[in-house]
Amino acid sequence: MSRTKGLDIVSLNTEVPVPAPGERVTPRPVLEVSDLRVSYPTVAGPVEIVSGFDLTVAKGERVALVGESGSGKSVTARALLRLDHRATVSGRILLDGTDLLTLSGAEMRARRGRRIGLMLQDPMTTLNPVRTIGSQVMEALRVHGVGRAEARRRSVETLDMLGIPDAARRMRSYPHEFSGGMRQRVCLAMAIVAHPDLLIADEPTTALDVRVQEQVLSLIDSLVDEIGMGVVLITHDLGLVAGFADRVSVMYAGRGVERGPVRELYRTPRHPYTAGLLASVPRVDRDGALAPIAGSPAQPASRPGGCAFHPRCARAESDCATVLPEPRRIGAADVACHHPLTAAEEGPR
Amino acid sequence: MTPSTPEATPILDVRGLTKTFGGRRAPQRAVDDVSFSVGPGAILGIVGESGSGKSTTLRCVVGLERADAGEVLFDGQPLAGADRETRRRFRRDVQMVFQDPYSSLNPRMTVEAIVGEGLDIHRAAATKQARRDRVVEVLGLVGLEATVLDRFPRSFSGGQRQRIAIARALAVGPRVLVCDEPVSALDVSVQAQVVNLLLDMQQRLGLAVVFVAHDLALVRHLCHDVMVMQHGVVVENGPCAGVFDDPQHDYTRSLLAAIPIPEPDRDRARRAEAASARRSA
Repeated sequence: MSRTKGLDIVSLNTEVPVPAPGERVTPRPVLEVSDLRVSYPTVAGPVEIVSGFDLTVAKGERVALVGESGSGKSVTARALLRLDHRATVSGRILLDGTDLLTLSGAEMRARRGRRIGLMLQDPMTTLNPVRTIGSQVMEALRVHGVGRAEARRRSVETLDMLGIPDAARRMRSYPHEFSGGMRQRVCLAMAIVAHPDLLIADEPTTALDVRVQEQVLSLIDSLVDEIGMGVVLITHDLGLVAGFADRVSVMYAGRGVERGPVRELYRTPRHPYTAGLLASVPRVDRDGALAPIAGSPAQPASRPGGCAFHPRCARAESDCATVLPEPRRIGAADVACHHPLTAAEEGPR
Repeated sequence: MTPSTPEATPILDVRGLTKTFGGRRAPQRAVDDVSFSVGPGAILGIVGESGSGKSTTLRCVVGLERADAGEVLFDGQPLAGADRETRRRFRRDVQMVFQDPYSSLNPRMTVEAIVGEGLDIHRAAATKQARRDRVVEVLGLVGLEATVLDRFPRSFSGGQRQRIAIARALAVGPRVLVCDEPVSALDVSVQAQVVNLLLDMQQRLGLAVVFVAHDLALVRHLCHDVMVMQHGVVVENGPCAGVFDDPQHDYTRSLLAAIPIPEPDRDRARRAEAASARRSA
């Protein structure tokens, strides 16, 4: 899509078809990641954090990437933007057909913020405490050559759209003058002010209270409708994204273990890890015991062989410890498991 | 899980607790006339958003903060003006588990030293062997092997660290366990482990538990009673079933409405409803 500077939300709105709620959108992918591998050097040699991960995001699509600590989800987010110079990244990261891994530093810089926006968990550390809110939001436009007055106008417009009262005046405020929820709105404004094709939000609501969490999710949601971007929302909480995501990808120990459309994945989880995550989410709408997953999440430096989940898995058999399960299609989902659950076993939740 | 029925006489009775921070020019009333009681073997949840005063309330009760007004009765006896022995007994009988197991365990102490420290302070173990036996016993209660005794906190995951913190609290045989967001730093799959462990300990040892959390869904699974705080004031309290199924206060309702449901269609409907409620507000 070609864009002119200063194109506003309203005119964009007309060129992007808004999908009806629940409708499966399958336009061309804005992001196609295949066989992504990321490793970091350690004193004991390189450690592979992400070991062959695939991800596809279409325009206007909301994809949830779910994984626990050490699963490699945040490393994936950083690798997509090539943010870590220490990391060794291989595979393919196609953004609108261009492989980001083949680009020069300057070509990559031209895309960060402009084509891909990134929003991180902790607004306390993401924002620079000694610079005004305005200068930090404007920076995302200024580095891409937008003039000062124009950058200011669009920054105010974006902050206003995100529900920051008296936005023009608050541009001169500093981060400490904002509450946590307001700071997270500023981070969202920085990520989307240049109208990127893709927003990567890494645990954007984890530090927030439930009501603010709800508001931030709704804001991201409405932005998808308004500017037609694709979203990758990264979270450790499968409970959070049921009503948000179109598709869900579950990651464990650096690999995708299950991905599929949101309804199928919640109704009939196939991978025992997905089912375990669902059963350990406390629900406010019903009583009943929580069913935790035994053990602790696998740590990157000491991942078990075969299926990395096998030491925690009640269905594990001998082959799980030795043979790495390849993803295969079951129903509408791709599942990497030797002994997946059948629909009857899981039953309706 | 069906919680065991709490008995009538409160073990912990808090009346009119008030705490103000800041100077005379800009006083911030963090806790404003908060009263509650916890019976032996009962589990009370205190919920609210950040800044609601829930943690400050807890810290005032255990004596980590000095309240400006109000009193705490332990076993029917006021703590203020109590003799040394009563206050000593209170500090032994009321134990705390903190939010962040990465900062609440001394990185330079072994597991045995961490869990056994309370036994030394309260002279609860006559010999070195008795001390070690007790440490191994409580570690067993929380599902850790005796082989961890000589290890340091850094070699444990978050969930295991929180188990060590719980073992430390249980070592001196308390009657009340006070937990400040004990699982909010943990992964979801491990959260459920620790919540079930707390429930198990409560039932096996007949503990009273005060559980501070911002996650109302967790409170529903763990607690008998719940107290909802906003801006330092208790806006609603009562048995969990009543408060969750028929909330009386608007604040409680808005908190409940914001909690995601892990079912795509129902959560979509809930979010649409919450959004329209916000627009009309």
